[in-house]
Amino acid sequence: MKYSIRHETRCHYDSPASYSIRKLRITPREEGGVKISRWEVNTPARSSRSVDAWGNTTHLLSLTAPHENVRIVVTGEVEIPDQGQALIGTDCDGLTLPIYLASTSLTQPDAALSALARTHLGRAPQHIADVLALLEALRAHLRPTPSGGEPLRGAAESFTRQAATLPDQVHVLLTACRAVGLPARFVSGYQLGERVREHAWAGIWLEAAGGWVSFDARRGELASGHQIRLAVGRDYLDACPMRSMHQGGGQEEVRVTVRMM
Amino acid sequence: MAPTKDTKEQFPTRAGNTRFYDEMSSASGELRPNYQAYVDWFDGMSAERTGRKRHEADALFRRSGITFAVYGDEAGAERLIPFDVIPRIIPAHEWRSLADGLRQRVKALNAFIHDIYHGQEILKAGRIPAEQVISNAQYRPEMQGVDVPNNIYAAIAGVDIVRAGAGEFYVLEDNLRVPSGVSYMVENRKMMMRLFPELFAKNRVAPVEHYPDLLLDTLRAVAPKGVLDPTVVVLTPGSFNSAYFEHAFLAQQMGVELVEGQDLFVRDEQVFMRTTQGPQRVDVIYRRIDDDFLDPLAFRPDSMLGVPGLLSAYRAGNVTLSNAIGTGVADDKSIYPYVGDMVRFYLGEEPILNNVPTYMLRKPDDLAYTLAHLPELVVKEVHGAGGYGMLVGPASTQAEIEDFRKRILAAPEKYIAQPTLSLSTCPTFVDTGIAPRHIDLRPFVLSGHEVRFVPGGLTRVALKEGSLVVNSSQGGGTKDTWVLED
Repeated sequence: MKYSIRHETRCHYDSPASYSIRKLRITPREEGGVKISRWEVNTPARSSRSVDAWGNTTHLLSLTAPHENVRIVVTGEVEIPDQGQALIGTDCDGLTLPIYLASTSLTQPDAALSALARTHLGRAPQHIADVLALLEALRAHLRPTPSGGEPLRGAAESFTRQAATLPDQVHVLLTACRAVGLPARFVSGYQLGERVREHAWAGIWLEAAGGWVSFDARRGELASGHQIRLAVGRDYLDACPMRSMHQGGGQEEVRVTVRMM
Repeated sequence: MAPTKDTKEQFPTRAGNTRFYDEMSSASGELRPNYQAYVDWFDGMSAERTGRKRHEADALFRRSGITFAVYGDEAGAERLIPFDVIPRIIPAHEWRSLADGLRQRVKALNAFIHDIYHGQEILKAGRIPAEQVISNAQYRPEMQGVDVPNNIYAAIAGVDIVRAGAGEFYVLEDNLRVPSGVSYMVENRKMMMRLFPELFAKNRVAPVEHYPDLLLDTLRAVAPKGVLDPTVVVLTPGSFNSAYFEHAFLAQQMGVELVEGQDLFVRDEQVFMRTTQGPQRVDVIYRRIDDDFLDPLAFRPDSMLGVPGLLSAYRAGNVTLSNAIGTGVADDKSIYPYVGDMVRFYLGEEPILNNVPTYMLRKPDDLAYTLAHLPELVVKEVHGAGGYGMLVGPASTQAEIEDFRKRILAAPEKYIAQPTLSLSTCPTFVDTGIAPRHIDLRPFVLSGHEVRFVPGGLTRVALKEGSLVVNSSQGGGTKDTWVLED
């Protein structure tokens, strides 16, 4: 099935910024049968395109003249397989997988969380049903909180507070899986349905299932396969669609709209 | 404290003390040949002059501003690192073999870092457990497939060497991130030459003052390909950093700009320095900032010290960072036990320098042994540095040991243990006169087109009687280090 997508990011500063730089990860990953027919990233000045350590396509945009607004418009067409693709075997070999076992500042181990992980995933080989059981337990434990304006707290703190924003829900799941030796990665992308929206979920490497399996930490279920991956990494900071810094300009306000055309 | 008494200090006799190798005298109490000329000179000097010179040294250091902030110091003030006027003297033949060992070791370490970010041959060959390298917090996936000039990752290495037992050298750790201390090496020599110029007429001491020239040569040698006249800068976290003096010193000595993160910016994957004449391209950054703080768009987003976009410019090959990103995995204490294997694997040679036998507490057998022998072992945090967070069993109280036992049990994989080495001693001025104190040696190894160093390095001395911790953050002092020429 073919989707036509328009993804607009508007950044606004209180007053003119003298300099800004942003790293964008807003190009679909062609894996699991996803094919890009057309994808255009329009930025207000030339941007540098490259591929990062996790195989994500990135654009680096730096603006050196004073500016109050930055508008980035992406339009494109992507084809995804009709049967969905919660499971994707990939190019990951045994030597690169351990990268996804490493703990980062947002996925620091927590004793109670590790214990919970062991009760559901303690015995190898782990199956999809085992992860789903863990997800159920995590959903009972964690109250979802809206992301807007909330700081990233990371897995350990979120688990202790029993509340988590979407990215931190994913971090909790990743941390639990890594605690039992399962490679786990953060995925950001589009959730497709009646409408399209930005979303984040987890990819867990299950040997028994044959590769990366996508789990939706918020809904507590297998990701249906109606997603487009924009970026993967060890945590939100590796995989989020945009990271930016600016000089002058005061506060930055960011508005993102994604729609199907 | 300057001695006020009129009697001349005596070098301690070694009668009854054969537990440690002493740099000046042999176990039977005979003066070693490398100290002969020095001791002859010393014996001819009056007590009054010695005392005056030590005062002078204190005043000079204070005036030239060589200080070191000590973390956890109540006063929070910068403190003078004590300088001891009795040099540590290394004979030429000993240095030659040390130098061969250092050259070999640093070559192997650079080959290892290149390999783990490229073909990972040593992991495929099963010589080092892959997971231990790749899941290591210091391993930077961002470096995978990134080619750096000359395949040099650690252009500047500060390898900590100790002497133990009957005088064998051991490598304690390989500092491959941002090793510091070299400014003391240079300043200590200047101080000695100023205080005792006649000594340098009586002894053929290999020079060290040209270190900044060698450093600049090295940094230029690792400039991005095609850049013929590279612009080099020193990137410092700022004046509150404990080694700020050294950053300023090296920049000034090399004749290059000392910059903070905010002085640099990235445009189109290239790094520029803000100058009064407008932006100037920067090619080589001698960075004295940890990986985590280098680029808030790639690493810690709250870092105010780095340059946003720097990693992108670096991965594009438009700028050299010295040392490279991700060298920390090779000097991690959990990887240290494998350095000998690296020498064999990459160079096909037997390691010249010894490693200290190391228990890895992630292994159940090693953990059990360590827990049963805590009072005799040194236990270190795998990621720790600077002498913080370690247990020196023989110097600790029962309560300290029990406290540390709990910390180990909570996360054994975070610790390694080693036998307590009987570090060599060197006569040193203390309140009561001259007494043997334990020392180590940090040579600075430079890798550009080839491996180079100035002979010797920084000798650190533990000023407390019996103490084995030489770190300046833990109350250590320094000495001038002489390598005698044949």
